[in-house]
This record gives sequence, structure tokens and C-alpha cells, in this order.
Amino acid sequence: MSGPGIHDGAAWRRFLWLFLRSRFMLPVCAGIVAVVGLITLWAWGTTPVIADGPNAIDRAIVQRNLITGITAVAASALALTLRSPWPEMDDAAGPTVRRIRFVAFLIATILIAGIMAALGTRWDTPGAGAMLARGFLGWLGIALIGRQVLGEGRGWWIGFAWAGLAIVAGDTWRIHYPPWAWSAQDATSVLAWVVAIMAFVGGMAILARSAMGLHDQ
Amino acid sequence: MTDHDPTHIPVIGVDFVTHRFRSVTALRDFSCAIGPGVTGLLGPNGAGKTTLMRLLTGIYALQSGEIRIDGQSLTSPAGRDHAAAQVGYLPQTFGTYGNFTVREFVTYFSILHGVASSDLDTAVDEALRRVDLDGRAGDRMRSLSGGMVRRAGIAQAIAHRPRVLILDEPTAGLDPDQRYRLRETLRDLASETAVLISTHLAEDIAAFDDDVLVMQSGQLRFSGTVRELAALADRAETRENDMRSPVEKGYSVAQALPPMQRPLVAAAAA
Repeated sequence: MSGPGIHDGAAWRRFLWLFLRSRFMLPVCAGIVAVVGLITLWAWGTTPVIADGPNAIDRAIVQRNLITGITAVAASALALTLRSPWPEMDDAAGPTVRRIRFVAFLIATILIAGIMAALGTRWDTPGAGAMLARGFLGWLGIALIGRQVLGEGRGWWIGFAWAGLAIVAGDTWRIHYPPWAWSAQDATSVLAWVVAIMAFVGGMAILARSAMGLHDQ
Repeated sequence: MTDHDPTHIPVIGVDFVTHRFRSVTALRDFSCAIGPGVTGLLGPNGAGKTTLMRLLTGIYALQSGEIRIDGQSLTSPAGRDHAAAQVGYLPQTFGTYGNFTVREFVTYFSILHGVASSDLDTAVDEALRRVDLDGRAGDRMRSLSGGMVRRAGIAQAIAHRPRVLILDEPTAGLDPDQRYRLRETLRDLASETAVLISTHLAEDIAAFDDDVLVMQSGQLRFSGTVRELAALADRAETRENDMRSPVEKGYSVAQALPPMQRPLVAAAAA
């Protein structure tokens, strides 16, 4: 033994396998929540389509609601994977876990945002790919800030409540989303981009600070 | 070893540590020395025990004062890395990933504490044997009883062979038989490792005939042996049908003693 941290390749491989396995159950649970949430959103969003016929405005509302719902749920699910049942023991073992977790989180964020942007190009809402990537990054930042403010397991509350209100707003005011429903705004909305980028940068800064071992207390 | 024995160099030296959480002062000019064997850290809830332990493990950064573990100061990041290597820690409460086996749980932390892959299996086997869980190594964590989970927690804390083992309320929630077995395990470990046990139950400390620190309101009120603490019982106010043991009475007296401002930490460490 030569101090804290992981010193050889074989130990790295064993640790990464255990680290991924330890996080396995959380994404599964989060995935179940996401699927249920998406089905609910889909049913909710298609109601006006069924009632009024599949016109362009209805499709736009459905797609913008879905963009808000999918991105908020996916971001919150990813933020939940940061949760550890033994944070004190992680910390007492040195800074390694926080750093690995930060890097893994960053890679997952880039991958998911990229996949969403690619999927969005198949939709007929202009700029849907950009809206999906923007929504995901913004809700992720909000979840990370919420995690810091409300605690590890409750960070998703803010995003879910906010996104839920935005979806209701879309159905209530038809396509005229209010400014605070930022994730449903056009891909060209400067305000929406400012909100998303500020939230993402703020949330990641909190996480990076933690990864560097800079404790609040 | 206690503060009044300056001939021994302490494994842990704490000098004038003050730690605040916003308006609350958890530790106030706290100093103590901790040596080999079992040292009990007694104090009521809110006395500052957990804060002290988190400082010793490097979880909290020092705000003021100094802590040395094995002669290495924790004021620098390198010192905190040193703490991670030299200290094994079991917090009061911790969850588990139920899908981990006992062996995987211990392996996970052993790697983090710097055990090389070539030594890993041996270190994990040895740790599990010492806590009497070698027969359950392949069992899922979710299948263990509360006492076994606590022992698995101790195994993860000792697998990297630390100089210091810090246990926060290790007997909380255990039945009498599990408490007895855990104390036996700790007594065995103390032959090689300095063991610091935090508790608010005097009976946990009475089981070890070693050293005791009593904390109250973030300050050190007593530092001595279990026998010396029990000797304070004569000064306790006794009530009718008082069922308390001498150690428990001594603990009550010690909490009301004036703060100990300057134990012989520096002299012992010099």
C-alpha cells in the first residue's frame, strides 16, 4: 500500500467495475420513473390532438411538452446517479471517488445530450434537436443546484415542479409559452439559452468544486 | 496512553482545534492526544464527537488549530491524503448497495484506500476473517443482519491496515449479543491499531479498560483511564435507587468539570 488512490491498472479495472455496478440499480429505478413519466406526458400531450385533430399547433404543443418532459426526467435521473449510500466513507477514503464520479458524470452528460440532439432531428418542430440538448443541459444544471440546496435525494423536485408547470402552461396557453417555460421556447430563444447555460455552468461548477475536495465546512 | 503520560508519542495529536458551522461552534479550542489501544470518546449528543471524527478523517478541512496523525499534519491536502491512508473510518450510519457481496463491499474501499491489486485479495480475506465474516464473503449485503453490516463496515475500515481506526457509535442499534461480539472484535483489533470509539453510552467504554475522553459543548472535560473516570463516582450526586455504574456516575461528574484547556499534546509530540 502506498497511500490513498488507485495505483495500478488491475485495481482500476476492478474498481471501475464495482463503481458501475454500484450505480446500476439507480439508473434502473430512474429509468422506470422516466418511462412512467414519459407515458404520462405522452397521454397528457396527445389529449388535444385526439380532441381537435392532428393539426400543426397540436403537434407543436405535444412535441414541446415532450421536449420539456423528456429532458427534465432524463436530467433528474442522471443527477440521481450521483447519490451514494456511504458519502462519508467515500470522503474518508480520499478524493478519488469524487473525481471518478465527476468524470463519469461528464461523459454521460455529453453522450446523452448528443443522443438527444440526434433524435430531435427526426421531429418536425424546427430546431428540436437543439431544444432537446438545451433542455437536458439546463434541467441537469437545475437538478445539480437543487441537489446542493435541498439535499442529495431531493434535487429533482425543483426541475419536476418547474417542468410540470411549463407543460401545463403549454396546454393552457396553447403554443404561447410564457418566458419562464424556457425549455419549450424556440431553438432561437436567447432567454432560453441563457437560462440553460447559466444553470448548467452553475450546477457543474458545484460538482467540480466537490470533485476537487473543496468542502463547505 | 493518555494526555497525562508524556513519555509516549500520540498516534493522534489535536491542538487548539476550533470548528464552526455558521453560528454554531462545534469544537472550541479542543486539544487531546490519543495513543495505542482503545480510546473512548464519550459525550452527549451535540458534544462535537462526530465533528472531531470527521476532522480526523479529513472529511472536514481544518478551520483553525492543528491535527497530527502519526506525526503528519492534516493542514495540507497532502496531509489529508495521508489521513485517508492511515485512518480507517466507520460512520454512525451508512447505507449499502444491496447487490454488492460482502467481499465486493470491502474490496471497493480497499482499492480506494490504496491497496495494490496484488495485495487486494489477501487484504480483504484477512479483514473479513478478523471480523468473523469470512464465511459470509459471498453473501449479498442486503442479506446481512444489522450487526453483520456493522462488522462488514469495520472490515472495510481495517483492510488497508490503518494506524488508526475511528468508529462513530459502533454499537448503536445492536442487540446485547451483537454488542458483546463487536467489543470482542475491537479489543482484538486494538492490539495492532489505535482505536477511537465515539459513544454516548458509558457502558460501551466500561467494557474496555483503556483511555477515555469526555466531551461537552465542544470542549474536553476529562482525559484519563476508565478507572480514573470511575473514581470520580464518589463526587456524583446519588439518588435513591441509583442504578448507575461507577463509570456512568463518573461520566456525569466529568461532564460538569471545567474545560481542559491544554493537555500535554505538544510535549508528548515534541
